[in-house]
Amino acid sequence: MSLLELPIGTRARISGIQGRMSRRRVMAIGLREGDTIELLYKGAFGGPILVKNISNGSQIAVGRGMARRIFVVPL
Amino acid sequence: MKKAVLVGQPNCGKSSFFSQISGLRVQTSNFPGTTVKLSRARVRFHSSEYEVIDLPGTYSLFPTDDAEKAALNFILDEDFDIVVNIMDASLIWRSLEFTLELTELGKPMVVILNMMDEAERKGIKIHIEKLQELLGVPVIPVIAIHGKGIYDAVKSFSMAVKPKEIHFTKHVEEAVERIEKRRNNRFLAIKYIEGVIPSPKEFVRDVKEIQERFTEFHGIPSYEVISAERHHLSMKIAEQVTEKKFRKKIELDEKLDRFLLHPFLGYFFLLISFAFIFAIAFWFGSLIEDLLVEPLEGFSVSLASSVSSPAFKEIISSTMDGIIGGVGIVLPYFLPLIFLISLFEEVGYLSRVAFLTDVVMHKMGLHGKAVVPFILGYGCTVPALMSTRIIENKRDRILSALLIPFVPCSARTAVILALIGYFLGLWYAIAFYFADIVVIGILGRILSSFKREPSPELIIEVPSYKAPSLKIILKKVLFQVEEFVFYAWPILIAGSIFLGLLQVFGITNYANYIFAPFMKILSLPPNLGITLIFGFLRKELTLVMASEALGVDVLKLNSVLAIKQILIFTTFVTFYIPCLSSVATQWKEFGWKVVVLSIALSFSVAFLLSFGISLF
Repeated sequence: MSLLELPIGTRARISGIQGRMSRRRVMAIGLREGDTIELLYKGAFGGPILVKNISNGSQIAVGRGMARRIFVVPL
Repeated sequence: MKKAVLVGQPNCGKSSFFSQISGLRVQTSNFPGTTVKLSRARVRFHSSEYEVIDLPGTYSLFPTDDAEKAALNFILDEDFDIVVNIMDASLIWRSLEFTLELTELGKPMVVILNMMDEAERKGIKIHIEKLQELLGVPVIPVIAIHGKGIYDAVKSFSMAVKPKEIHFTKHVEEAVERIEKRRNNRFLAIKYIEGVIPSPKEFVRDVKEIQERFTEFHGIPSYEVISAERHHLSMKIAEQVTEKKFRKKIELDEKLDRFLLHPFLGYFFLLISFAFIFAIAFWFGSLIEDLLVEPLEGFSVSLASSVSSPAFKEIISSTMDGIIGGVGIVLPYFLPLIFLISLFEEVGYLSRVAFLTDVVMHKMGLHGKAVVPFILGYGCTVPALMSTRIIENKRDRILSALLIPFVPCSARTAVILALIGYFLGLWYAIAFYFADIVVIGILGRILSSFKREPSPELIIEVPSYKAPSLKIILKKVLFQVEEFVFYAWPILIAGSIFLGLLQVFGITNYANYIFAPFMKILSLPPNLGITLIFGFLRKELTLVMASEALGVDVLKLNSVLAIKQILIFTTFVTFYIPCLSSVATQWKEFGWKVVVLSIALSFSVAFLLSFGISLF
């Protein structure tokens, strides 16, 4: 499923990131395939999604369009 | 003198470290051909002196935006002796990857492990000696915002040594060495294979062959193969040098976020904090008015009366007007705003503001990160335009540059409050502000539909909360004020003098004739034509000019103008043509095309809106 479909508060492993540019930007900021993440918040009114990367301790906000291209496997 | 470059990932506290070591003498310039800022400072340490260059924060040397590109170009083209890598100790897992990339440069290096307190609060213990041994360079723990460890950090510059060469997995390493041997430069060899730099003719074929082999073998582009190698190595190092136990700190952060990012309370807090800052701005404004503006005005009058020539008199008083305009109108609004924004940034709230406002910004074809220039726009358009530099792509920057002039700056706020606030009531003034936001939203929508390419989605780091350091905030504020004082203010004064000259030669009188038909369409008295020139040169003077042109006191404008006319006039003045200083800034930052477009756009919007009102 995509990151967008992940319920709040669940942990998941990133299984894939779609799109050349998206991949570069997502990976540059430190979200990689294989990382364990937890979805913290979904912004109100279709706002961005806040993700905690358990693997490296960082927190990243991702717009919904981008979140759609990040695939995860719930743990 | 040795040159040291500071490199580190965004939010690693690099600029705090820089301001701790640099003192007040910081030179800033732009990277050639870009608007990315580059700061330099001389740092003296006992008998040695260093030129320290603060590069923009980069996640890696594989650039995804202009700032990162500029940093990479600097590293490639410029000569320097020491790499100073600042690392966020609390994010050591991620930061090490970049550190490994930097070791590929093979230059003398030191690692500054910043935010040690933050790491400790998160329950992370780092074995400094072990990390030093694995990287082969000095590692200095510091807490930059409290100035802890800074002495040792600068001292370590003289102990910088070439790092250990880090080797990749066999087949990747062999490929790298194959190119490295021929170029005699490991860093470049890797960058060619990654595809970050186009490889020179003589080994284009070899590089291409390697890239294809990598992609075939791993199913991912070559740069990802190498980045995965670094990732793997850095995880291995991190495992050896850290001990982790979870602490309360994370819970506290999450509790705060539960409130500050709450779909309802979060926005409530955001609104309150901005309402608060505007309240401070008004309070500060009236304080400055009493303490500075009135004495200055008195001084101006006595200065002008000391000369006899009327032309000279006019020039003196218009010069003083320009100076007073900066002191009395811009600074009181601008200072609290930039103070607040710097505070938000230091505490870690600013990226949360971006998170919250992303939805709104998205509607106008931008994303949350672009909200800062818009907020600054309420103070002064000039620094707001300059701060669009934080936006990473060109389309978004230009779109922001076209929209920001529609945000009522402090000079226009003065007009809005005096006219609408006084004659129609405060609620109308507030409604006017909301209407303005709606107009900006609609314009953004329309403009972004012309350039369809989607704005890159928001993706930002949301750092953990930190206790702010007043010293660093003040430094940031000072820096922005400097930009205003040395750039926008002189233009403001020049515009004011120019206006004085126009009056001396009686040219302003013609303005009324030129604008007369136009005024008629808007059902405004022809005498107000002259204020449009003022509106361009000095927005805040429109009010004074309007009262002079109509021959009545500002507070009695409603005796000669109908309420509707006041509304039409305010609307027109608020929206039409950004002032001279803003136009100059647009020109400098974006080129003349944006200036022409912006003028045409604002003029037509102002005309349509005020004409629309006149029809009712």
